[in-house]
Amino acid sequence: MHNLPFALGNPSRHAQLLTTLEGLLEIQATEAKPALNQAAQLVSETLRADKADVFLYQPEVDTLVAMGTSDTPMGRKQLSLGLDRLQVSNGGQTVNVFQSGESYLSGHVEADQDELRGVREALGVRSAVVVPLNVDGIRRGAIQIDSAEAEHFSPEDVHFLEAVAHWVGMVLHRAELVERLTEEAAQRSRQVAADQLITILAHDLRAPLTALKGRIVMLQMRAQRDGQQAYLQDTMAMRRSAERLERMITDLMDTARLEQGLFTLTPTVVDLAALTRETAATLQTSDDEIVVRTPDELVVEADPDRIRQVLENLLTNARRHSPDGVAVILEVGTETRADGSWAIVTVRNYGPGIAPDILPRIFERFMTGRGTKGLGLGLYLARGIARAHGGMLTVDSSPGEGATFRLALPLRRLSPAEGTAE
Amino acid sequence: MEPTEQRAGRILVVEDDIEVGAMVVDHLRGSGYDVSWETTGQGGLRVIQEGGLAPDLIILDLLLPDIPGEDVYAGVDAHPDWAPIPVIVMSGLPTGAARGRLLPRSVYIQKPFDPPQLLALVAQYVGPSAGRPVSGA
Repeated sequence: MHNLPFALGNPSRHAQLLTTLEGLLEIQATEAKPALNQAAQLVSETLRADKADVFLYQPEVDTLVAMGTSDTPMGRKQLSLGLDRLQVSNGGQTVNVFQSGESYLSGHVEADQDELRGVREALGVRSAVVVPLNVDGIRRGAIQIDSAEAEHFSPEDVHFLEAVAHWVGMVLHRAELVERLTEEAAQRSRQVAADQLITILAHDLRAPLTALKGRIVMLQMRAQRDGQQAYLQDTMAMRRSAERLERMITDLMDTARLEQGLFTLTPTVVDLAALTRETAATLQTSDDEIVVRTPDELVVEADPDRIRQVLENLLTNARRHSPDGVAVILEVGTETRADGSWAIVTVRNYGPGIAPDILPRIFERFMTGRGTKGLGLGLYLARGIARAHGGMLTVDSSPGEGATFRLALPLRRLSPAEGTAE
Repeated sequence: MEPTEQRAGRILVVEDDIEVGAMVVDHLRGSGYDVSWETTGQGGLRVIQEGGLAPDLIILDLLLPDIPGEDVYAGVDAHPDWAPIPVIVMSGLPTGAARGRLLPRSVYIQKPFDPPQLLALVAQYVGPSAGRPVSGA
């Protein structure tokens, strides 16, 4: 008991623990850094230390960084010496505790050759206790108290500091959770705002586009009637631009609706094999550009316009990335798996393949690849359409081996009593 | 056999957007129709109440600045001379959303559309020179 300061009189260990706990519980722990500073200050006061620190490991620099330090002379000196940042490769007792998970107590740090010279000599630390700090079961750093006086701390102080470390771990966990949830909420509301903006914009753009398209068509009809070739060509070009604009607006509105969960289909009984053949036929510019392999008939329940949209997107993408003279392969078939029967449409090209850094993100919005015109929404919408049908759109690709897209649609199984579909 | 009166098909357009309205009106007139145009819902209702000659077809925009297009439709429905008139509803809303607002005895065309599309639809209900039996009542 001879190390107790005069100011605190002669408090029992129990009372000391209580005082510290009461103090810790009063800390408003919603933000990590201020909470850690307050905790370090409180600990240094109640344990009569010249310095208290909460070190947290930052993996990107492989360094233990003091995220909370007592506002004491030794604390400020530590900062000026740069000893608030401890590189793991330099070792030292704080690093040792962090790595081993075992607490450290010393009454003669000046004689400890395993401790950093800066701590021993420049800071003048004589006594120290260092305990590991875990957050949600993961070792994240260490808590430390130091004194310029030799033999200042006892084994009971070690247990005490370990109890404090538990509390700090909980506070940190909660503060980090709050930070993450706040950021996620902010991001979600930014997302919602962006989607609403897209909807409003696209909607407002439709009226002028209707008027513009209408006038273009009227010009075109007049040019045709009067045999004005030059005007006819110009108006046809204008019409193509207007239609491209219309597609972009429609894609934006579909995207916003998908995000808001308002996307709807009008499904009907469709011959997928025929639909696929027709779509390929409208896109073909030469006979061997797209090789089509389908059964005579394959009936599914689907929205034909939307499926056509998916096929057109997949085929134009495949063709764009296909080397000259090399065909794109389009196949339709069925597959029975554990999760049911599926109609499968595969679109395969033998181009350079999809780069590995893009592949995981290829179905995201606004992913414009090399040479893609437009907004980069085609695959995002295609996958949304597949899912809206209860199906899936997946891709297999590696560099140099082209890419295979697979559209899977649930197969409507008819019982014998239902008879055949039209 | 009742004598029929040869005259241009009459169309009432209710559309608030000046550009879209002008485009539709010009296109229809260019095809030989007799077109009148109101830019507000109240204007449409006033035409109905004034008791002038009823048109052969109404082209109605749902999203009007003053009152909803449905209210104009209700005004048409409530008037004995106007109730049988076919209505083409124009809307920027996608098919799914507009379905919920679909009015009986009307047909729907989604913006943006090509004028020939609208013209073809109009022709299903009234030709440019509409033959109509002269009312005996």
